Amino acid sequence: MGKLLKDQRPVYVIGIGLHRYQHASAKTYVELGLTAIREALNDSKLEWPAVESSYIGTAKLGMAAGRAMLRHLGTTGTSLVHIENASATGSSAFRLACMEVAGGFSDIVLAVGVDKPDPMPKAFQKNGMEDLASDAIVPFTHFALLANEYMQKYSVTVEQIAQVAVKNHRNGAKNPYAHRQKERTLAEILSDKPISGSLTRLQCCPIGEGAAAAIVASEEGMKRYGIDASRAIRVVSSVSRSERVYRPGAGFDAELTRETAAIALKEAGMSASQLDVIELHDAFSIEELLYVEALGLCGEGQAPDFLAEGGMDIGGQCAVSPSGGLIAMGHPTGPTGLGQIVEVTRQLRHEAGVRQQPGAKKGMAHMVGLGSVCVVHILER
Amino acid sequence: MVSYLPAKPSLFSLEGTPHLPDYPALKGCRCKCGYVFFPRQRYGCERCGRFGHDIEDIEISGKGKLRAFATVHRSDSENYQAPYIAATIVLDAGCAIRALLDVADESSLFIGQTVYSTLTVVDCDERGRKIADLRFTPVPLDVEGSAGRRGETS
Repeated sequence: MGKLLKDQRPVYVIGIGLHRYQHASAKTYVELGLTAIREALNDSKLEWPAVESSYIGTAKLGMAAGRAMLRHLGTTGTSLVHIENASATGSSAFRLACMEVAGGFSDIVLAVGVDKPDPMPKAFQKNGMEDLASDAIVPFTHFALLANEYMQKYSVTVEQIAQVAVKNHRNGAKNPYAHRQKERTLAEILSDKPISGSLTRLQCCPIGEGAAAAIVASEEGMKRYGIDASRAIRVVSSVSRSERVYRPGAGFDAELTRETAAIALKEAGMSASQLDVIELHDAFSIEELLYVEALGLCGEGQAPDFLAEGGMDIGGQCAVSPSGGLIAMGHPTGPTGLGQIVEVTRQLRHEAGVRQQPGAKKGMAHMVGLGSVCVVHILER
Repeated sequence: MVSYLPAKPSLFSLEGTPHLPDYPALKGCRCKCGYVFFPRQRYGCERCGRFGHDIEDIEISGKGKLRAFATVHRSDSENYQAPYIAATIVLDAGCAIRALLDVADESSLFIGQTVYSTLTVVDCDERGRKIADLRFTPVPLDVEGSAGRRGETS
């Protein structure tokens, strides 16, 4: 049996930075990534030479993106490794940075996610197996089918599902780093361009460009550089799982989240009801309802009511995706999971301004990646 | 009798199973552990890891129940023109698949509805032979462009 993160040296997030998520522009990924890294360095009050190792999360740029970006910080000769884990790329880069510090290999480690929307070859399509209609049933239709099933199973309406997008656009409107920064009414969301099933464009995440960075440190590292411990946020659990064969009839996305979140909560010694903030993988509105139930924030089929009662709002029982989530903050892919860490850290430091969840102490970041994989982190102030 | 070329011969037969001869069969596998899966592959069983001779090819009857459906309004593939209707189908053999439905609109569909495999002409080869792809439909059709036939034998 392996060891848990919390049984190792404590790991803290000490620096966070972002480049706004946005439509593809003329900016190079180098410029995007450097902006986020310099913001994280500035936030931590560290100079680049303090960073002993770097994990670069990118799903779309292709081979060897890292040094071409990091060299402009002044070369230090330190380790750099590229991570790809589909939508959970940034989450996995963060997890490896935490493990390197927890294991005592380094004291200060950078995880950075950066992407631009380049079409990349998809390895999973090279398995030599045909499928009946995989190019006709892409992710938005996969989730439209899950929405159809959910509506039937729990007598839920199209409007109730779209309310997820109302909340997340409202949160995103308060986030200067969000791809979409406009409040939307339920009517606007429902009458927007239909994509698949009940899902309209405004219920699907925008995939653009951006960057997110987090610097993690050990207590020794913080002491060495005189880091302000009051702004450091501890990473109390880190769990990464992959899909397996579930009981017939179970949706694999929710089952994988159920399993991963349960392990992460157990390792942190918490229950879901104690979480103040969750940054959740809401690439499509229906996902948020499926996952808050799966991770135990409310019972099966109860998420629409929980949402309607304000339980998932900023100021409610648990602010779910106060950043705007993937639907409003955006899903540039490599950065997304790290952007969640940035938001949870900001919330737990009580530095989220108009998006602040009052008194936030415990937060979760949750990503699902194609394949499927699931990565969950729990942070605590 | 019109003859067709199957668009994806690795996935389905033009003929049905002995149990359900009138509906195109799906080409799947059964592992020694009992796990039935589609599409066919010999890399190894996803449930138990057995491979090679522990996995046998089976023909799966083209009949199942709708678990979910959705009208797709946006297609980025030149092979499919939106709108079309996608579905999750639980085959009687026990495995869940994703497929397209051969229906004009979703108004008559309901979750739990029995659906059958059928063929729809999607293209012609250079010799003018019709190429048929697999679809599912709640009503067994017998019209041009659809080779599924009425009647079920047990």
